[in-house]
Amino acid sequence: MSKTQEIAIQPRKFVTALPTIEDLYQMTVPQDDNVNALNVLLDKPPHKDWVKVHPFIKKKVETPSGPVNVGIDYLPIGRVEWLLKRIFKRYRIEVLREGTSFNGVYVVVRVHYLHPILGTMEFHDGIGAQQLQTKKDSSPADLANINNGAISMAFGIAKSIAIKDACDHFGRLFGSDLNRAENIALPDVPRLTRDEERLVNLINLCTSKDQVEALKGQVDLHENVLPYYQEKYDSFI
Amino acid sequence: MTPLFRIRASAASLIMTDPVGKTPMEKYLEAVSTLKEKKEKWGLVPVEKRSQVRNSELKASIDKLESEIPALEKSKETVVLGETAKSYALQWQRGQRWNRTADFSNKYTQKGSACEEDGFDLVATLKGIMLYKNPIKLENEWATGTPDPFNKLTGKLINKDIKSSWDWTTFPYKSDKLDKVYEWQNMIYAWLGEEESWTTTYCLVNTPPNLLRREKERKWYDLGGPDRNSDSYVEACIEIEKRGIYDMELFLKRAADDGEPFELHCKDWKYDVPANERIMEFTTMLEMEKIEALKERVIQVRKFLETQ
Repeated sequence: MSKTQEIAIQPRKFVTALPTIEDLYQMTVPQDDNVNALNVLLDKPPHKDWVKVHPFIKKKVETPSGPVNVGIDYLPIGRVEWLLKRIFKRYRIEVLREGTSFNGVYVVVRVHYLHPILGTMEFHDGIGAQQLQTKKDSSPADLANINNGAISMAFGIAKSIAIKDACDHFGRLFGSDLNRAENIALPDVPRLTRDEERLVNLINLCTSKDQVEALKGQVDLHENVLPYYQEKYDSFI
Repeated sequence: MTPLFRIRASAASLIMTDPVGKTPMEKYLEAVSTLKEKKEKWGLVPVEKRSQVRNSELKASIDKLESEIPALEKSKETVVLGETAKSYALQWQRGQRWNRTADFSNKYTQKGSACEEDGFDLVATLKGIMLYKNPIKLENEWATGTPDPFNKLTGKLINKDIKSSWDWTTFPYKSDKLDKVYEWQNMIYAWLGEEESWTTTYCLVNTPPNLLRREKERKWYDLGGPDRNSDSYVEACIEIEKRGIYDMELFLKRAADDGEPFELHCKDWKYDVPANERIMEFTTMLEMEKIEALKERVIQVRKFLETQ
């Protein structure tokens, strides 16, 4: 019997040390607690070289010269799998569910891993979804215009996202904090009410500057709609 | 204390339904007319023949009518409400006394209220006007009503009432006549809103995802709980989607806003209906004679309720 199997079958029995309230306030970790030591390791930020910038998905960040849109940070799936192998040695990906939702697919996975301290098999679940790619200029809802290979591509991407979503639960080392709200300035596009959506639709239907101007009174009642009004108005200048 | 009865615009047709059979006035007039005819006939009978059996029967019927007419004359002004009107009035009275409202909810009314804003969207897009949900209740001493849309900018009501059809089979045709219920509703809105006319605008919009899910569940039970991947169930679900969805892109957007996944069974959607074909309007002109009749009927209902 190999050492790994022995560990898996006979988990080490010990009680983890409870933190004191002072430990929590000071955010310190009892030195004699191996489980916490693992948590500390998993709570370290990932190496900057591991982090990639997404080419399409953007976030807004505040800079001294004003807000700018930059790609979101992410850990590639290869790096996540490498970390799983290095830290846990033994892990297994189980696909719990897969299916279609609206115009895309989703995959739910369970990442089983051998807890290196407790010696037990533990798991985290994650979900990932990916929209089916449709032909250029066709609606995402137009299922008749799905690209060749869109389904197999979407499932693969959804599974990768699901694995990364599950691994987010390990901690910052796996990229859980990369795009947290407190770290980034969320786009300041307000959610429109139904009335405002209706007004934006009306604005978008306008085919002349006069038509847009006729809606100015309504727009004055809805501050959130002003950027849409302005954009449409400017398009006729 | 129960407030004075006033008719809700949406219920006006209920009290305007005439009772089955003849009214007391009709009975009285008919008796008077029959008596006159029979007396004329009796006058033509020679005196020597009046004792014959046939003629004595005529005389007996004249005597009978003469004895009945005073009672009919006395009651000719009596108000007789139809059973529908009585039933509505009694329920209103009990609801007021016990401080309760009746639940008329069904899948048609649920879609109606859930899709009100979708109807506004459709009308706004096609008519190029901005509509808002109206918070203003209109009322006078006879009737009350809260019409759907209004113009927030001017603070004025828009003389339209938006109705959402359940599906394409209940969406009216141009040649159809407006339902009496909505005709009376329009009439009262026009009266209360001081307009010459009011329009019922039928809209055929998407059924909300939660109602379609329920329809699919109901179908699953109807089919005896088959395998959810079975052809019969999937085909039935596709038909439900085709009856409930008329603009797939918008449906998917609303479903995403709901935050609850909706399983689309139709993988090859090509059934959208153009927006301009999903609206149908019927206009009702204000007729003051009808309004006067309504006032009269409200008075009759009040009198009836006093006796209860």
